[in-house]
Amino acid sequence: MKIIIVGGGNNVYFLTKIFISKGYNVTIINSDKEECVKLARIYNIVTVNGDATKPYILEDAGVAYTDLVIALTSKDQSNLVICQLAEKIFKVSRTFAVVNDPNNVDIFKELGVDTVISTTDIISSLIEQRISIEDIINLIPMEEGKVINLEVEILEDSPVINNKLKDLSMPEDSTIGCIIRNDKPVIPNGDTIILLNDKLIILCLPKVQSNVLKSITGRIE
Amino acid sequence: MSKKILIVDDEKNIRLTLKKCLEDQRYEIFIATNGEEGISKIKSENFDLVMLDIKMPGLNGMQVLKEIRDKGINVNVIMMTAYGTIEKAVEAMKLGAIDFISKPFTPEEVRVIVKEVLERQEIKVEEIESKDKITYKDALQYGKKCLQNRKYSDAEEYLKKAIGLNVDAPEPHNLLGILLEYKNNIQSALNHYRVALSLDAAYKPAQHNLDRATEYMYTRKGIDFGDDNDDAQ
Amino acid sequence: MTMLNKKKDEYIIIVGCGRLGGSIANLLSKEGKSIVVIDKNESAFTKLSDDFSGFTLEANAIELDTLLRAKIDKADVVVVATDDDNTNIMIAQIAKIIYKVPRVITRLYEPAREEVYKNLNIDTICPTNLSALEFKNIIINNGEKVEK
Repeated sequence: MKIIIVGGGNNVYFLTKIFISKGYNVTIINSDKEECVKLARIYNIVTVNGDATKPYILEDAGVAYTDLVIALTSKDQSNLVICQLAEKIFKVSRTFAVVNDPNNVDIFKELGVDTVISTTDIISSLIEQRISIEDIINLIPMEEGKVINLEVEILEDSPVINNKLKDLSMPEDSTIGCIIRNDKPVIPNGDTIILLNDKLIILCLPKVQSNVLKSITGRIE
Repeated sequence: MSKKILIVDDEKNIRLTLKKCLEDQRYEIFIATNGEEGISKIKSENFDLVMLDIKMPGLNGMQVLKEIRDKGINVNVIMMTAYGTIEKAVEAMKLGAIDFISKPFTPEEVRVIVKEVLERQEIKVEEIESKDKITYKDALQYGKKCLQNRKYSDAEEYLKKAIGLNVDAPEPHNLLGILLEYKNNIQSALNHYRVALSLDAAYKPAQHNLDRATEYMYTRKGIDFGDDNDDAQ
Repeated sequence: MTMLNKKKDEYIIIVGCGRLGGSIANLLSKEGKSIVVIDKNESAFTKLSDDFSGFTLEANAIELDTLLRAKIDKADVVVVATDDDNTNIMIAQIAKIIYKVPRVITRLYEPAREEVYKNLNIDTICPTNLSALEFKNIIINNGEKVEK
C-alpha cells in the first residue's frame, strides 16, 4: 500500500516507522526542509519539501499513484484542502484528516473526507473512560497493543457470507464480539448468520490478526 | 397613518441599519443616540414602538425601560441584545418587555418582529374568543399581550392554551418559564425551558434562560440577578 | 396577509476585513444592503467608511461558533475574502454545502486549487487570472476589452 503523510511533528516519525514495518510505501510532504532531509535519511524514503495544499507539490509526491493520504498538519483548513485536492484532482481513494477543532469532524465528513479524527475528542474521551471504569480494563488498541480491535465489513466475495457463526473456523485467540447490522449493534451467538454488509467487530491477539482477516475476507491485506 | 418607531442605540451603524429596513416598510422613524435622549423623546412624544439597545454607555436599556415604566408610559418595547449577553428576561418581563432581538440581525428578522409586536397591540380578546376555534397564533399573541400588560393569570391561561394548540412549539414553553420564574416557581420554570429545548435544541431564548436560571443562586429572599453590568461570557 | 418584501441579496456576510473585504463592505453598504463583517482583528474595521451601516464581529471565522453567531443560516450571500486560500476554501464550503447559502463568492489566489470548487456552485474570483487577462489585453489588444 502506498501512503502519503503530510505534516505532523514527532508523530510522523513513529507513524512512518509503523507503516514501514508493515511493508507500506511511505512518502512524506513537509514544509520544513530539515525535517524532510532527516526523515529521508532515517527511513530511506522519498520526502517532498513544500506546501501540500498546492497541487504540484502533491503531484511531486506521487499522489496520483497513492492509496491513502493522511493530513496531519496543525491547521484544520489545510488538512481539509489536502484531502479534497487528493480526492478531486488526483482521485485518491482514501483520505484521512486529523482536526483540532472537534466541531470540524462532522463538517469534514460532510465535505467528503473519508476518515476524520479529532485529537481533542480522543484525549478527552480517554480521560473520561479512565475516570469512570474501575474494574473493567479497557482493551482497545491504545493499551500498548495488547489486543487488536478490528472492524471488518462483509462484502460479496467474503467466504463466510451466509454462514452461521458457529461454523466459522476462526483462529484461537480471536472472537467476534459484536455485529453492526444496519447501524444497530447485534450481540451474536453461535446460530447468528453473517449477512452481506454486516460489520464484524472482532477482538484478537496481535499474532493472529492476519489469519483472522484471511478467514473473514479471504484475502491477506 | 403610519406607525411611529423610536430607535435608541449608541452605535451609528445599528441606527442606520434599522432606519433603512424600517423606512422601507413605511414606518416613521425617530432616533435617539443614548439613554437620556431616549427617555426624553419617549416622554415628549407618543410612539407606537421603541427599539431599545440594552448595552449603552451611560444609562443602559434596562434603566431606560424602568424609568419610562415608572412614569406610567406603557409603549411597546423591543430590546436589542448583543451576542453572548444573557438577557435579564424576568426583570424585563416585570417591566412589560418580552420581545428580544439579538445582534447581528437580518432585515427579515427586524421586519417580522416589528410587524408582530405592532399587530399584537390590536388584538381584542372578544374577537379571538368569538371565532369557532381559537388558533395557536391568536392564543400565543394574546398571551404575550397579557404579559406585556402584566395581566399574569390571563397570560398563563393563554400560554397554556397555546401549548395545547401546538405541542411542538418551544416559544410558549419559554414564555411560561419566565412567568413561572417571576412567580418563584423555579422548578416548573426550569422544566418548561427544558421542554422548549427538547422540542427545538437550537431555540436560543430557552437555552439562555436555562443557563441563566441554573446559574443564579436562589435564596429565600428571591432571585439574585447578579451584577447589573455583567458582561456574560 | 401582506407579503413581506424579501429581496435576494439583503443580508450579506463578509469574511475578512482586509483591503478587499473592507472595500466590498463599504460598496455594498452604500447600496443599502445589510452587512455583517467578520475579522479576527478589531483594528481591521477602521477600514470601514464612516457611513458604514452594518455589523462588525471580531472573531475567528474558521470557528463554526463564529459563523453561527453571524447567523450564517439566514444569509443571502457570503463573501469569503481572507488572505489565505485554504481558510477561504473551508469557509466557502461550510457556507454553501452545510448552510446552503444561496450565493457564495470567494477569492482564490492559487488557480491550481480551483478544482476543489468544481460543481459546488461557488463563484471564485482569482486575482491572478483577472490581472493576467488585463495585462494581456493591454499588451495584445491595446487595451481593448476582449471576451475570455
